[in-house]
Amino acid sequence: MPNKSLPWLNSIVLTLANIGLALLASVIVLSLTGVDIGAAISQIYHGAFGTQEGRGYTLYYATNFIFSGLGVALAWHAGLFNIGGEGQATLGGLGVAIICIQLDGLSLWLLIPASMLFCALFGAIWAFIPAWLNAYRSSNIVITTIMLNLIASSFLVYLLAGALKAPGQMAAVSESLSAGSALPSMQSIMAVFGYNIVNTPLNISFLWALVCGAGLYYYLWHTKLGYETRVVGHSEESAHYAGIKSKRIVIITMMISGALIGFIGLNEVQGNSLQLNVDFVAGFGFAGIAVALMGRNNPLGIVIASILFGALYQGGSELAFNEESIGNNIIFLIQGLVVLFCGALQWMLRPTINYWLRPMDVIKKDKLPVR
Amino acid sequence: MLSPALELQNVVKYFHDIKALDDVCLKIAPGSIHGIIGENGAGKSTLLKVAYGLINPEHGQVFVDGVKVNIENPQHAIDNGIGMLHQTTSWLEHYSIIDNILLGEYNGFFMSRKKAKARQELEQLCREFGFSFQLDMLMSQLDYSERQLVDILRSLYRGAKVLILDEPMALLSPLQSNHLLDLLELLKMQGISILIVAHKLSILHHICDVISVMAHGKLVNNINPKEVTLGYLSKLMVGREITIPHPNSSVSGVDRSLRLKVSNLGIKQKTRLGTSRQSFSLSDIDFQVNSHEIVALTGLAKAGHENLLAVLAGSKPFTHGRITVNGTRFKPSKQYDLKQARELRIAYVPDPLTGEGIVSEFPIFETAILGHHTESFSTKAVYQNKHNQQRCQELMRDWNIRPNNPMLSTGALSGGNQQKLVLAREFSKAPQLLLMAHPSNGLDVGAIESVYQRLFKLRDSGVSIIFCSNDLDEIMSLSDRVILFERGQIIGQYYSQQLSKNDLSLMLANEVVDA
Repeated sequence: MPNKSLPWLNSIVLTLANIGLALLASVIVLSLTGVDIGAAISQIYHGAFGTQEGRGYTLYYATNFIFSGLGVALAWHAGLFNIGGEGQATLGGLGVAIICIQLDGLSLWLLIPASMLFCALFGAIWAFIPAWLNAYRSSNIVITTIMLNLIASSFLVYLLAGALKAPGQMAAVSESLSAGSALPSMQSIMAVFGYNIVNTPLNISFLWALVCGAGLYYYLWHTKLGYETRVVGHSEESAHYAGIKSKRIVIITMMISGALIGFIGLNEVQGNSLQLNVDFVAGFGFAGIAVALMGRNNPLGIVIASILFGALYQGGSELAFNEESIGNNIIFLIQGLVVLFCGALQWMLRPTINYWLRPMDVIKKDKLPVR
Repeated sequence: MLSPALELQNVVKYFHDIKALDDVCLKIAPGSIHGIIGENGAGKSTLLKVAYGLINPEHGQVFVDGVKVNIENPQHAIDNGIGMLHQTTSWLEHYSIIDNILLGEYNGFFMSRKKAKARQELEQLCREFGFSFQLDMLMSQLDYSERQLVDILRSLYRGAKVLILDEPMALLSPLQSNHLLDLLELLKMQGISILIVAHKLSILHHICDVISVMAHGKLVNNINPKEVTLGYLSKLMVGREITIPHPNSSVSGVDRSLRLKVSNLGIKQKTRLGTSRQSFSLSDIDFQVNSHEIVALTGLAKAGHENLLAVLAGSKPFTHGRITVNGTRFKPSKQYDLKQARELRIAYVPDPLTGEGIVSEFPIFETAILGHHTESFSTKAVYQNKHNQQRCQELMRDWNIRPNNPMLSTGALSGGNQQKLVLAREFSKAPQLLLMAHPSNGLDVGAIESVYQRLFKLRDSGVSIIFCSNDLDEIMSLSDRVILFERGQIIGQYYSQQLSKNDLSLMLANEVVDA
């Protein structure tokens, strides 16, 4: 009976098997450091999901992963490999900080749309540069986006050491945003519904990330532009035949992708730190590649993968805090292994899985004696 | 009795939940030409790919000269003396023929000695089989037919005892096609067995020693073509006799209106640095097409007729002249593109080999709106999957595209069914001018007949149809008028009814005939 749903089943089993392998490899590395594996896993789990505070942090980190995963996935559907997430997120945060400082004292109902708009705009503009170079000057988008990451981070340092530097501060940070311009925290939102939860950095951006995920799904599979994006991603020739202007699609797609990743800045700057510092992106832009791979470029998959990544991030830091022999780098190790098994070795297990999941009557046939 | 040169036993292959090959057994006698016929999607190509190791079946054995062998990939096949010709082989364009042939054969650090020896062997083979090219010519200097011969030479050099060909004649002109058939006869006399799939029953009937008929993944019949008529063959395949050429009578007593006027059209090629001479890939193209008319464009390879079709469809730009469609005049500019052409109700069926008309990774229902996707999104810019799926299913039933499941990926369809899908899509858009490149490429005789009937019906309702073809039977069956091309220019226009197949083939071979 598994006949009908076989291709669909195969791809899910394959993804789960790849993730399983990545986690297994992580466990092996962990055990090599001499840590008690059972204790370590329970610490990660407890750190991520055991307490209300842990859950709050998990979802707060997951928010960043969702934004960057969605951005990478969208570009992927147009056949573009956007690894400029770090830069686009940096610019997004910059946009938020500038608008919040400029419009300080404005009602939150007006400030939030304004900061979201600027955040998206800054991220989109940063993505427009490689997009235009790719569409009209045939430059390789992998190289341009990664170079723009470095430029963005230097640009941020330049601003934080000069124009945006907080007066009377030694550190390279911007002046603090006023507490009144912060995004509503999840605590205050839940309080409206009569629930009382511990305060964590988790804020309304998480809900916005979920809306973005649903929106991206709708965009890719239910709108004309989304359809055209996918045609361009699969075949340049078919796109030409269909009368689709590929250059236009490349630019639109990259700009939306940049805007989505830019929202990391919203979550970080206006949602949590209320201040711009030099390394607020902290690798979340790059992690989007792993998230998109793990989620198979599907918005729902990305949300699930993001929560898993958020849990690893939160639980991992808890573990690093408790165990002397483990540093924060454990998170990057796991990320790297996910990229390895879900990306580079994506199809490694396919023949094996196809063999185990082959249709019933083939199995019967195999068991017949050879004539 | 000699054991078969190649034998396949009990081959079973699934694609997802579809049984593409169902317990197929096939024996190819040494030194024979063995043809396989069957409707689109019957499993012919799949079977060939199994024999060459491109597809691994779930079940089944392969025997070469009576010995069981394990063929999991093409290298195994080559090692066992099985060679295959591909429709779309990719070559290293800027390398010589000999380098392309020896690609992957070099082993050891010093290759020059080996190359000298290989050159001797290859030259010997060239003499033996009458290949006319020089081994040092660059691949980019060769046309499609010559590349095919290089491919055959490569298989021979690698010691092929069985040669597998999938639709080798599809893109050849009649002359080239005859040349290839002569070569196959010669190979056969040298003891090489040939396994060939083609839709041109008349050719198979002529050259094959045995013809196997496939249907729905099963091998249903082995026939000796010497004992049956051509009509019987087509009856076996589609259940009724089909006459070729198909009867065609042009419409009379209707008001013809001018649909398309092309005047002085040309494409200037970008001149390379250092050459002052201007070159045109098309020049001085002047012709008209009325409603109620089917016009064939033909010529030898690279004669320009395929280019012209792409220009008319808006797929390629032109640099000189005018195109007038239904009274709207277009100058050379970016304004006349595929989108503009579609707005003028010009439908375009591109050459199936380019794969432009489909997106193989998409589900079928999404391929079924390609190019017309703008209409498939309602005013709310939302496109209705359910509605599109339903429409697609109706279209597939109407055109007998199997398996009839719009959710399958387009790439899972056989080549012929993919082509039917493209034709179905373009026909369903009620075009006024229909442009087609090699429309029946990959279709079985039954499907071709039904496509022709649909075309005649469209023509009778006033549609103008222009198509490119190298297939004389197709041109004679389908067209009311033929336009001949040579080196980017029109060299003659004829009414098909005043022309015989023989005249046409002579004209293509560049001989002067009074028509």
